[in-house]
Amino acid sequence: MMTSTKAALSHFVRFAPRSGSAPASAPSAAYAAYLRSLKRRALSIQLWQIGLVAALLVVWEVAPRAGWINPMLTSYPSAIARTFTRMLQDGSLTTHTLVTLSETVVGFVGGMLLGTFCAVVLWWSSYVYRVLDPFIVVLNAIPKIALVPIFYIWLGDIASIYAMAIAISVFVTILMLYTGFQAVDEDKIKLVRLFGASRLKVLTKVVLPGSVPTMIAALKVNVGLALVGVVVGEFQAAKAGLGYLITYGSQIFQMNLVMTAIVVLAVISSLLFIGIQALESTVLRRHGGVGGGN
Amino acid sequence: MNAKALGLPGRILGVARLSDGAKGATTQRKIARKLPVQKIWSTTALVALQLAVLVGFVVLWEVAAEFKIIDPFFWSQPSSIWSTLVIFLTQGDAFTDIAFTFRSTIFGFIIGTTGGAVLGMSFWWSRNYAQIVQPYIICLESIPKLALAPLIVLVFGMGLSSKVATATALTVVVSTLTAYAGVQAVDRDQERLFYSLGASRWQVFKKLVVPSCIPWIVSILRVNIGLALTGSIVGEFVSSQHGLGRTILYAGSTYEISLVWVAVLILSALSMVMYVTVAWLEKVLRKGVVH
Amino acid sequence: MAVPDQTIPTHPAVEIQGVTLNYFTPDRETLALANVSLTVEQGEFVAIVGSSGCGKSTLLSLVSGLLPPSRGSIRIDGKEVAKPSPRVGYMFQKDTLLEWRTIIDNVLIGAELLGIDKIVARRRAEDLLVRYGLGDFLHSLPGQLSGGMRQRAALARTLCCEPDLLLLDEPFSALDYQTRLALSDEVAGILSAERKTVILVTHDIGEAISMANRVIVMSRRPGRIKSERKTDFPSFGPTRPTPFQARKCSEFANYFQTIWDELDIHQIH
Repeated sequence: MMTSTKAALSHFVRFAPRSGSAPASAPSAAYAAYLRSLKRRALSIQLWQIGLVAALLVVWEVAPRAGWINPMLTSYPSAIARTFTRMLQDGSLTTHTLVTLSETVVGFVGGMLLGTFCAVVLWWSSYVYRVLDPFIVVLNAIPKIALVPIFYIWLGDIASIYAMAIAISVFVTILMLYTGFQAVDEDKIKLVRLFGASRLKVLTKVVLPGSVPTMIAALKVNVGLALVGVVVGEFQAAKAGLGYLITYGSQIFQMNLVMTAIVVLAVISSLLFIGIQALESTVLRRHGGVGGGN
Repeated sequence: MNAKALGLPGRILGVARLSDGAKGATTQRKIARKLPVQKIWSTTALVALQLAVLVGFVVLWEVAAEFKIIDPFFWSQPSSIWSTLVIFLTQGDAFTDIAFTFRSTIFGFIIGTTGGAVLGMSFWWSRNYAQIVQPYIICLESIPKLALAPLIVLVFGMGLSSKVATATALTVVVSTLTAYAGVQAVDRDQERLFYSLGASRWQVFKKLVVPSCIPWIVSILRVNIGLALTGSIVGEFVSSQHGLGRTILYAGSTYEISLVWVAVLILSALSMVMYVTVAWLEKVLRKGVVH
Repeated sequence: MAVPDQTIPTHPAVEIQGVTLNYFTPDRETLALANVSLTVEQGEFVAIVGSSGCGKSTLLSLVSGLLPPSRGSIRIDGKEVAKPSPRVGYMFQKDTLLEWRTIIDNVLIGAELLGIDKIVARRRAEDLLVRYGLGDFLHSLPGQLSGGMRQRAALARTLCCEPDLLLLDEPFSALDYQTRLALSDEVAGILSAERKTVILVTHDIGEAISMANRVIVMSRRPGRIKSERKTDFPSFGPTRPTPFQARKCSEFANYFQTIWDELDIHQIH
């Protein structure tokens, strides 16, 4: 019987259980027991996780029917599943998803390219950086999302969404990349300069390659931000897309529409994130470095 | 070589040293030419230039609108923005709106940060519980929480609570993940020290885990205040009777562009004030927990 | 009939008997210690040397009660070890001072956790710190002190709760050589003045020979006791030399050579 302290110590050290009169071949048996207990633990954790989700779904289905919560506000898993399959079959779900997805991709790609260019300019001329620095800080402190209505007025319903996604990504990219450029190992830059490299060469041969991990980190952040920007833009302006479904659905109290859209949004979001993780591992493996040019 | 380098205005960094050990005159000149020459301008020159840029921008805008180079209806002009600002502050609902947005932001910030910190630190108690809940937190993190704003407004209504809820939703996940990272970074040797002295788990939690996690939470405060503000604004966009976000939306829908700009400017000012305050708070808290 | 007081046997400070430890990870199981037996008498200073990974630090963890052995038993003062006790002081390789607490608060951490009278403990802590030359730094933060000073503060923290047995796990290895020499002199002096029983684990042979009464050599994993020898310096005189003086004695080189040959560090495999 383990005392609570020993249970706590299993946090950072694993030890064999006491075996008083066990024979000399006991190590293998005890180790086998240990491995079995590990497997059991992993299994029980997974069961708990599945169980929690199942319990949530059950409560969600039962509670509105029992009158505990208002079904207008929450809908039921069964209704949501039905709406999901219906929309999938008649193609409307695919349309909306693609709209949002394309806007997001254009947004973060555009934002990253523009942001990288601006970061390079700021790195190139420290003079320009020092002049523009306070403006950038101020512009960064403004919640860009507050500009959604004004973008809508200026650019109309479609372009404003792209603009919002790009606008949000640009600032984050500039800040992250500029910091990343500055963090590239000084000694590496010195090395290349001693070989007579021009500023352009320093940029292309040391700073940019050395900032690949930072760029991937910025990409991760941008995808999330662009998706958010697009969805909020769609709240305001759109006639298609997942954000539109959410707003429209909640306005006509069709929560199954809202929930379907949210579920799809969560799935896309996770897929994009996983995709970038995969990209990260491939790139970093080839690249061989972790963090600003080590 | 050196004289030429030193002849340039301002001070030059890095060139003089290199020429000491360099091979020949030509190589020196070649290297020196390619090294970036960083002139350090005085702060006053810099600030003057920045002010000039700002003033120039405003003047250009005004002039362009006056001469109809750009459409003043669409873009508005500095003079009308100024007059609208004055009216808004003296006769309009400026202070109600500012107070509303400010309150929802601060509440969301406080609830989200403390709630997330407590939740994240609670993961230290049981590895099993932490491993069970972790995928859910990561899942919640990947959902764009602002997409839930309409749902939240539907559940909580039009008032302050829905904005607080949105702001909390954004900050709580970030705080939880950060606090959990802090928990995982607790020094194992310090943990062993405590146990070797016979400490109970609660004592280890109170005296080691919590102080270790505080710097992590402090470092995330600046991010959180921005998130809270964004949450409030989007909540107001969806449905609200007060608030700066609501004013922006309302003014936009009635094409009062000047009022939109006024609200955006006030919002930016509010944002900066909160950001600076939190940055100061962070500095103060860091001094008390030196690492 | 009058019985002399000395017939009441005192237990040896530490008795390790037939201790074996199996270490489990998901990838493999490792035999860390194989049938280790060792007895340490009251007031003795024992040093354990061995190459990295031979299990010497693990042995200390077992003695302190942080780990239970897979087989065998460990007794302190005749009582079986079940869990960590404040009577056993443990000093780590890193000073593990808490960065957010002042030096005096760090020294008092043990007293805080054990509920010892605050005033008594504070007086003892202050006394210790002054004696170790840290009197001016009572209210400084660890970040403001040098490595040697931090280790001295860690020693004060260990001794504040007045443990009978001290377990030192390579406490000087993180310091530069000169600080190490100076500090080992100070620490040996303090510990012998207070007549503490000490088990020191180190990979520095010179440190072991100069500081300890007895040096124990452990083999590589699985750790076994290879040899034990007393390290006396009769050429110095009736008293034991300080660690620094011991290095200059003629016996030092002999001990060093013998132990060096026994350690299997230089065997390439």
